[in-house]
Amino acid sequence: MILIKDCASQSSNMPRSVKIAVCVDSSIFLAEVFDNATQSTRSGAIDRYQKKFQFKKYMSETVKNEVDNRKSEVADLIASVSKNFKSELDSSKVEGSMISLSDLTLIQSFFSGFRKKFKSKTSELDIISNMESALVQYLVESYSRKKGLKTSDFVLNSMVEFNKKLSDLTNKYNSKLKEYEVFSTRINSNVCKKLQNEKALERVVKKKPQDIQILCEVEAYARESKQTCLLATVDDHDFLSNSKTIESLIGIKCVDPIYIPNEFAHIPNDVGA
Amino acid sequence: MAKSYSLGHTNYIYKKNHIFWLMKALTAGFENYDGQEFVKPAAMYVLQYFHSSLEKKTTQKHYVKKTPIDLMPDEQPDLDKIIRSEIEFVVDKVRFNADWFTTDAYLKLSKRYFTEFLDENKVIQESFEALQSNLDDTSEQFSLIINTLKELRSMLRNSYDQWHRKIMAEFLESDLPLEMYNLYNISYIAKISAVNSFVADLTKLQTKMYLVRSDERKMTFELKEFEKRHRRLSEMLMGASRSESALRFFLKMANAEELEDLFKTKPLTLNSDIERRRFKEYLDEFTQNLFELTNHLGKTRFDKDMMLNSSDSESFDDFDKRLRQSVLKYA
Repeated sequence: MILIKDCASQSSNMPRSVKIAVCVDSSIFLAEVFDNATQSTRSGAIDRYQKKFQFKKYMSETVKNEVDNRKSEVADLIASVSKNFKSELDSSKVEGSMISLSDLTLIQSFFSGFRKKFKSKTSELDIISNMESALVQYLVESYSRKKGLKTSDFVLNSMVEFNKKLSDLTNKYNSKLKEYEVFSTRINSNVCKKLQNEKALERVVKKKPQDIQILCEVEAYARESKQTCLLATVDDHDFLSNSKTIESLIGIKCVDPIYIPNEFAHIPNDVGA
Repeated sequence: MAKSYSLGHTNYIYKKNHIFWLMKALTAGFENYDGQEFVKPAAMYVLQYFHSSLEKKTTQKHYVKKTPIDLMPDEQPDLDKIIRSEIEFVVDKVRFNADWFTTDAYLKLSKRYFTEFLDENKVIQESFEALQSNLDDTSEQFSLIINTLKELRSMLRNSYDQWHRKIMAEFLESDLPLEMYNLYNISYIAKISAVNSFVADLTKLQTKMYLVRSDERKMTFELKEFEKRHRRLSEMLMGASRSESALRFFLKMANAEELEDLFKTKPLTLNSDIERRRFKEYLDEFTQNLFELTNHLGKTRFDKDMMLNSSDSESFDDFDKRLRQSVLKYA
């Protein structure tokens, strides 16, 4: 809910108190948690405007779960690679053995085989390559720092490092999540049908049904809470490019975060202007 | 939390028959009891010595106002009682039946390990003894409580690396989600952060009490303010710690064959749908309570303490940055 009060005291053209809710989709929350510089600038705009216009930020359960699941998938992938790598070392090295530079061949061969199990141009493959790079560098670093590092210590220390990075991610997820009010609503199936039958949204309906779900949730929330709801998104392909169609169908406007202030220009002030 | 723990959708690659090869080597060094587990009851015990009072205290003969402020309680806190209450809570919550398990036997063994913990941490033991000596001087009382908490904090900080290696050994040999181990790590640091918070607040209070020493009304106000904050943080810490203990106790019980196994680092698996369901329930509760605690500790304090989580190796310096980029690139 937005209660525009501060601006009212500064400008007679601004409304005293108007209820607007800024909802976000997964592209925004994902960018906030995973912190990409460009997207973060756009999603960061929401926080900057929030202070100025005093609105509340919302997200639906679906958005929360989508980002939560993505985080889990990343953790699961790192877990799987680590366990398989440990097994590889187990089967190749004698218990109690030391790690050495010649083990770089082993790492190379393991990752080369492991990568084949994943499709090209996927985040999974990227993450696996990053893990490989970190492990190779760590082996060289450990070797030059202290000769005689046990294989088991190498495995444990690198696992500790991976766990630290994921803990940071989990902590960031939580600290970002607490800035939002998460809502769950009962969606209107007629609203969903409208979106599903729209030709311009055919691709979204087919490939990303959860995006339709998110739109329906925002519509339901707007109806239940009797607020004007905006859906802030950086998803240009599915949401922003179809903004007008979506608004005409269900009355929810999809906006690029940096243009949120534009929506306030349309809000009638207290004298009905 | 709506997601289900399938124990990793990518785990199909994981060759389970390989688990036990390196496991032997990894767990071998971590068979001892977990000393860090005892920090919470130890901290609770120390904090029970903080019973600020401006009221007249009862002595054997008559009412006298011994000192303007007396931190020590009339009755000595009971360490045994604290340990018993924690154990009874967890056992009662998890209700896991096994013919080799009784609460009394578990309690007895826990106390034995707690004694070992104190023997291994002489500074803490000595601080406990000093607390029991009933000091009269307020300044000394403050210092003693603060210093004992600082000792516990140092113990946690100094054992962090070894503790982290131990839980990673458990993870690598177990069939449990890595996300749970992220939470254990955050929880460990949150405990340090909570102790830090108590130390900082007590230190601030000590200074304030000195500054307003001649004004009883102001003293009462400061004490009440402190106790309000202190009570809330204690409740949060208790909630997070107990739900973590319940989760760990459940997992250990599900994989133990004898009482001693509950104190060892061993491979953990979930053996049935019922166990998986219960696991999810305990994990969800722990997650919720933990984040209530970290949110309560506040961004400034907790994020600062999260520095302990920073990388020890330059090879991993920008791993998280690249990881995030990978996720967003294909989002």
